[in-house]
Amino acid sequence: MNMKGYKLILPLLLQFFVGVIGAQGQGNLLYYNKVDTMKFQNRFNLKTDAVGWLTLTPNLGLEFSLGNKNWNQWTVGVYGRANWDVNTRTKSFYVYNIYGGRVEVRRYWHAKIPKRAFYVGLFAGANSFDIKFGNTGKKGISFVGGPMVGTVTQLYGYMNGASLDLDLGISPGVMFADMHDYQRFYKDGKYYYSATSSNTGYKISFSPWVYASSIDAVHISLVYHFGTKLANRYKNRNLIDNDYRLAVEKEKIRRDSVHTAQVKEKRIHMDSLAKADYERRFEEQRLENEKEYAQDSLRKENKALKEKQMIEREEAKQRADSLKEVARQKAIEEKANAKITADSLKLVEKTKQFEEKERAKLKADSLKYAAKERARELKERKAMERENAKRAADSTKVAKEIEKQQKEADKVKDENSKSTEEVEQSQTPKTEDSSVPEKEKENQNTENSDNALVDNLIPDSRQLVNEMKRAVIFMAVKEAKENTLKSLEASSSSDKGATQTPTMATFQTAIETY
Amino acid sequence: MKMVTKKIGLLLILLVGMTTNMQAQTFAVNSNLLFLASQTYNLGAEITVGNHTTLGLSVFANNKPYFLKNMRVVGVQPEFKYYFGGRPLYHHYVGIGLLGADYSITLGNRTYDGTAWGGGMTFGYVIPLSKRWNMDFHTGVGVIFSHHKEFMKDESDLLLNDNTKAKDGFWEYRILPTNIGVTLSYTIW
Repeated sequence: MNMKGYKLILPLLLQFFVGVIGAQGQGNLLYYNKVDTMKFQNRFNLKTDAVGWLTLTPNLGLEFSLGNKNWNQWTVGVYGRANWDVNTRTKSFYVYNIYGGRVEVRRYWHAKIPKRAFYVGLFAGANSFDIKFGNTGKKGISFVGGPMVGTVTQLYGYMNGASLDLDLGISPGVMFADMHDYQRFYKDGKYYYSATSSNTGYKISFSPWVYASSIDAVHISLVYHFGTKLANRYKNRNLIDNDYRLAVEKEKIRRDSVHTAQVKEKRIHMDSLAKADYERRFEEQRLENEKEYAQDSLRKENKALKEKQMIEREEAKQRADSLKEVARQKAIEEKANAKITADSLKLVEKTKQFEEKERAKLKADSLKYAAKERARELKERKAMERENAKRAADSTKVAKEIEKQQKEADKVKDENSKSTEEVEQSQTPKTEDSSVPEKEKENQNTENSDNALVDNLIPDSRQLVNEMKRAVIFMAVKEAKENTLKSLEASSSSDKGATQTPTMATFQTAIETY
Repeated sequence: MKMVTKKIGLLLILLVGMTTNMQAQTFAVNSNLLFLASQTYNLGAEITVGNHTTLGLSVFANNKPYFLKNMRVVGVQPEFKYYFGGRPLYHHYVGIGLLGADYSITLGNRTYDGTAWGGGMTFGYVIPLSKRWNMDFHTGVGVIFSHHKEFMKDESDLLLNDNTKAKDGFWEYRILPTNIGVTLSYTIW
C-alpha cells in the first residue's frame, strides 16, 4: 500500500511543475517601445531550414545578437547541416551526402510592420559533398561565400516572450570547389564506386548539382527567438532610446550651433574684411576727393586771387589815372590860378603904376590947379555955386555914362568870349597881347581926358569914381575868374591850350571895361 | 495481469492530470488525400491533449495499387503534435511521430520484403475550412530503420559491403521522408 501511494505522488509532482512553468510563461510583460536589456541566453535564436529538410538534410542554425539591447541590429550566426552516409550496407545508385557549415553576419532592421524585419548579410561556408543523381557522381570539397538578403516574419509570439518566425532569404555566391567524378560498377553480385577523373583543384565551378547544394541559395527557415520576440528585437534605437535620441539631438544641435557659430564667425570675418576693404577704399576715395578738392580750392583761390589782383590793378590804375587826372587838373588849375594871379598882379601893378602915375600927375595937376585956383578963386567964386550944381548934374551924367560903358564893356566881353571861342585856333595870345595895349592906350587916353576933367571938377567925386572903378575892376576880375574856371571845367577834357585864351579875353575885356 | 491494469491506471491518471488545464477536448478523424490518391487507404484520429498539443494515430494500407503491381504495405503512425498557434488543430505545428510498417515491394528486378521502424519530425500547417473541417498540409523527415530481405528476380545473389547475402535479410537505416500529405480532417466533438 505504501508503494502504491509513493507512485501516485510522481504524476502529481509532474503536474505541479507543468503548471508552474505555464504560470511563469504568462508572467512576462510585453513592451516594445522602450529599451530592453536581454539576458545572455535570450540573445540566441535557433533556426532550421525547411529546404534542407526537404533535401533530407537535417540542419540547425544558431544566431547570436552582438548587443544585449533590443536596439542591437547586428548578429553573427553559424549554420550546419549533415546528410551523412547512412547506407552502410550497399552502394546505392543515388547518393546525396553533404556536410556543410557556414558563418554569417547580418544586420536587421524593421520596416513599418513590427512583426517583420529585413536583413542583409554576408556568409562564408565550407562543404564536403558526395552527390550522384546519374551515372556519374561528384565528390569533393567546396568553399562558398557571398551576400545574403531576406526577411523574417513573426509567425507566433508566446506568452513567455519568445517567438517563432519564418525566415525567407536568398544568398547567392561563388563557389570554389575541388572535386572528382566517380561511377558505380557491378561485379560479381557487388557494387563498387570508382573514380573516373582526378581532382580538379580549387577553382570557381558552376557544376549544377554541386553548386546548388553547396551554395544553398534559398532558405525557408523557421526561427525560434528566445526571450523576446522579433517585434522587440532589432529596433531602431532612435525610436526607443530617449536618452540616445536626446544625446544625438543634443550633439546635432551642438554641431549645428558650432557650425552656425563658425558660419557666423566666418561671415563676420568676411564682413570685417569687406568693411576694412570698404573703409580703405573709402579712405582712399576721401583722400583723393580731398586732394581734388584742395587742388580745386587752390585753383579757385588762385583764380580769385588773380581776379582780385586784376581788380586791384585795375583799381590802382583807375586810382592812378584819377590821381593823375586830379593832379593834371590841379596843375591846370594852379597854372591857371598862377596865370590869373600873375595877370591880376600884373594888372594890379599896372594899375598901381598907372595910379601912381596918375596920382603924380594929379598931384602935379592939383598943384598946378591950386595955383590956378587961388588965382581964379577970387574971380570965379561967385559963379562957383552955379558951376557946382552944374558939375553935380554932370557927375551924375558921367556916372550914368560909366554905367553905360560898363554895360557896353560887358556886352563887348560877351562878344569877345564868343569871338575868342570862334577864333581861338586862328588867333594867338601874342597877337592879342600886342593889340590890347593899343586899345588900352586909346581907352586910357579917352578916360584920362575924362578923368582929368572929372578930377579937375571935383576931387571928392574923383575919389568916389576911383573907388567905384576899383570895385568894378574887382567885380570884373572876379567874374572873369569864375568864367575862366567854368570854361576850364567845360573844356578840360578837350583842348588845354585853348582854355587859356578865354581867360585872357576876359581879362582883356575887364581891362577894357576898366 | 493485475500489475498491467495497475500500470494502465497510473498512465490514465497521468494523462488526465496533464490535461486538466485543457479548455475543451476535441476529437477529429482524418484521412490523407495524397495517400488516397496513391490508392493507399488510410484513416486517422486526433485528440487534443493540451492547449497546443494533440495526439494522433493513423493507419494505412494498400495492396497492389495502380502505380505498382507488386506492392503491399500496412503501417501505423502515431504522432504527437505541437501547435504554435493559440489552439490545437490550427495553423503551424511540429510533430514527432513514429512509424511502423510491414511491406513487400517489387521494384525492377528486385523484391524487398520486411518491416520498417522509424521516427521523425513533421512540420505542418492546418487551414480551417469550416467549423469542423480542416485541411492539414504537412511533411516530415525521419530516420527509418528497416529489416528486409532483398531478392533478385533472376535468383542470383546480391552481396552487401561486408559480402553477406542480401536475401538473408539485413538491417539498415536511411534518412527518409516519414510523412508527406494533405490531410482532410473532420472534428467530431
